[in-house]
Amino acid sequence: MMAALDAFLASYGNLVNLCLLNTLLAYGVWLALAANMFTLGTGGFMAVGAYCSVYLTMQLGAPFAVAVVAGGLLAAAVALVIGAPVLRLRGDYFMLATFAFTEVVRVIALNWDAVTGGAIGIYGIPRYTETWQLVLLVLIALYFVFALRRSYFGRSIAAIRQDDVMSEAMGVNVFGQRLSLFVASGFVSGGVGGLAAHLNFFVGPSDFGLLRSVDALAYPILGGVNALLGPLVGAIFTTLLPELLRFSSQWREILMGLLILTVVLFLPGGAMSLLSWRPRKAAARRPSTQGAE
Amino acid sequence: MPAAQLELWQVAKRFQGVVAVDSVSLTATAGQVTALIGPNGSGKTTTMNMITGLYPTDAGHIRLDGVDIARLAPHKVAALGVARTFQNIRLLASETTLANVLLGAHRHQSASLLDVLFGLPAVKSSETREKARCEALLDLVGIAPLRDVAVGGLSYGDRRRVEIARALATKPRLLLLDEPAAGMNFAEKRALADLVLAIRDMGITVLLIEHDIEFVARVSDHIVVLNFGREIAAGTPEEVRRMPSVIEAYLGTEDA
Repeated sequence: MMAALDAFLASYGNLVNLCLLNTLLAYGVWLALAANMFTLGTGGFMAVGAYCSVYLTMQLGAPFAVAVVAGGLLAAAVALVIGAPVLRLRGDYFMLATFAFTEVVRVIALNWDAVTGGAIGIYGIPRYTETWQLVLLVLIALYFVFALRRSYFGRSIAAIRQDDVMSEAMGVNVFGQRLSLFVASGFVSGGVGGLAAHLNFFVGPSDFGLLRSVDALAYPILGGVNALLGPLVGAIFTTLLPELLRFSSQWREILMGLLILTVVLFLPGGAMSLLSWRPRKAAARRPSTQGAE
Repeated sequence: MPAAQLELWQVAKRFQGVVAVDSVSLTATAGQVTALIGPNGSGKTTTMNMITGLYPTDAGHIRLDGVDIARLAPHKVAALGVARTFQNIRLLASETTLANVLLGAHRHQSASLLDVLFGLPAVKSSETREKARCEALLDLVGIAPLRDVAVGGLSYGDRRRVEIARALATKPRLLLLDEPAAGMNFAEKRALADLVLAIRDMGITVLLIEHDIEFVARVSDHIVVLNFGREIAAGTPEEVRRMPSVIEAYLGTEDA
């Protein structure tokens, strides 16, 4: 049994790690998305966390765990600073502002040679991140999201997503909750940045750009924001799909794009809404018969 | 907590030059039902939105028991004990009746975020307590059997009741009802009138906007009439009904 697992990890270890890392990131983005914040700041937060943790382990010799947590905390602090003005913006403008943040971080990474290695990036980062750590973190994230969702905070977050004006009139501190979620999302993204840096031996400015942010946003949207396992399903699916489409590199991007389009058009609730399709229809029918009585 | 007294003094609101509320002064006396009536576009809902903090005022004072609330964020106004229902019902359609009402209990939950994340017993006791309170409110407004039904499938009248239950779940001292009887049939309106009087007798000040004059006359202690963003009359139902300016606002002048 163990031998079989070892053999599996030997050939697919990188893919497994990538799936776990992206799952963790998906839950980080979910925190923002759950309150209707379509953030493109994820790449920026990851970069902050990555460079900070790498600096701590390589330059200052800090322990790995401390470095990752510090990277997450720095990203959270940045989220707190930019969150206060940015969260006052609505929809498209919020997206643009968070995208601008990611770009600013990328440009800083490109030019602050002493810390980031400039355009060349940083090579030879020790590989500290291990599969069991990622599994553990994913389980913790799953539990926290589970506990949050079923609590009254989960209820108020869902209410903010659907009608923030009403939520505020009912006594929910909408701005406070959004800011907390944005900061938490920044923390997770920063932590994932640190973990990713210590997995790939290398970090460079192009690792954490717009594309990374869009990908991260796609995970929970494709999987489903309303389901606990939605971000996990979306992250694993989106990570594995390009591997499955490897037979044709030309068709890969096209098929990937088509698939995303299909999910968005036909399953607005994400892939996980397939599971609750039937019961929801039945539930919708029940009250109408009651009205007829 | 005792019923709250609401005082508006020369409150005004403009939207890019369009005067929605010109100058409104009114008092909702503690423990009474005050009705705000007037033709469409006379500024009733805008006034209500200013009271609840959704719109900042351009001028004037809004005082709740003497404290100016005109500059407060909506959730802070709610925390002072002001709850409301919406003219265009605002419920979470896919959620159950109970889940919708529980949102009103949000600020009375005592478990912290850490309690929640680590699954401490405080979460359960707080949730059980608020659930019981909300179920009692469903009973009060008469929709207890609909507890687990998704709100989207409820009748118009029942959805208005869910909104009232949700507002009551915030434990208000002042309840604002924006056209609570709209779309209700005769029997439903009668039951609603009894409910409004029961809410008043619970020690909650009520300010309501309503077009149905019979309904208003039945429940109100005091009526304020608005037209073109100003109050044009105020008094008891009997007094207001006889005022020429009110008849003119509603029916127009004879020689027009």
